[in-house]
Amino acid sequence: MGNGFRRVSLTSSRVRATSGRIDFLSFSAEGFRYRCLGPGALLSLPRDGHREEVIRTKAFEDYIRDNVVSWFEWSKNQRLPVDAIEDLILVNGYTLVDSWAAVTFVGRTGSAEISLVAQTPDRSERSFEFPNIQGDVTQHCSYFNSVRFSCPVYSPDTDVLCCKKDNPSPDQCVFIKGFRAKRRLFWTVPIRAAAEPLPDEPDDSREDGIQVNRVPDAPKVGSPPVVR
Amino acid sequence: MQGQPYDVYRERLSSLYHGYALWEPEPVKRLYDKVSIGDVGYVYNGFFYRMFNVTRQWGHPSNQKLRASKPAHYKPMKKYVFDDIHESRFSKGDYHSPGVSKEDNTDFRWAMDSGE
Repeated sequence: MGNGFRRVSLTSSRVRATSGRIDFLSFSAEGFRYRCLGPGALLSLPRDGHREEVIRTKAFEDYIRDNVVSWFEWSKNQRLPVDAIEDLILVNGYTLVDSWAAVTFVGRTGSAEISLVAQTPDRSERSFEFPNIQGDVTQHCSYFNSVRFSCPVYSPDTDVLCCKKDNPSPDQCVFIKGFRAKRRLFWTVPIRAAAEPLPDEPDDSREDGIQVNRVPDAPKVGSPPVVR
Repeated sequence: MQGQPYDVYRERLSSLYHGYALWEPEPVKRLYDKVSIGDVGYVYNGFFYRMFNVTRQWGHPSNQKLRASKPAHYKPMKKYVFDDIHESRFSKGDYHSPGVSKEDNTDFRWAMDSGE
């Protein structure tokens, strides 16, 4: 693995490493190469996650419609970075995992490529490596920030950062489902009879409404789920 | 801003119908321990920031993280709404947008087999 490949590696346990390689004797590992021309994204999950979703969604639609304006005003009072009503999300479902690797092919320079190695030493420990990155790719993975872990260790023989996680319960949310709402402005133009007297008010009047959409909205690039 | 990794990631992976893809799945610990049904919040730089949770009374400790007075007309959602929660396993594996191709990394396997 050469050619200036950058190794970004994290593992949840102490691993023996020499000359820039991991001693794989106690590990099961699999590596794949991903290529993308233009923008793209990848989420890799080495272990099953947990999903919960409320079925009775009509109540959520009604609730956000009734309350989103006050929530937005409240957020402005708190000086939160909420620019528009439609930035607010009411969560009615989520997917939690305990480990992940995420890759964005930003797509500014055409084709890009990355290799991903997932290792699973045992049931409680797993790690990722990105041994080969070419092109305009941004990547990271769970446990990247060692501040969450109890005993981060850096081995001077390699560029592998070793971490141990305190709490193995899944708390990493990779997908959110929910609702958001936005103001909808529309004009109503009453139809009047020819002999009807001129009104005191203008003929057309503006009404404000709240339109509720699912999060995410209808996809811009459609495709059935890809799971391999 | 379009072109940021978290925006490209959200747009591309959300097309898979699993939900809004968070580039930063890590919970914002000073605000919440994990995402919950009934959370109200916003996404900023790929993180989900929870403001409060509408399944709980305003006085609940988890709704006091921002130490703010409650929004006007705040009333928690009715509990019966949460009687029908569908739980399921989310399969391990790779989830990627249509333009991404995947192949075995034979270089890596060779390095392992040869002990390099």
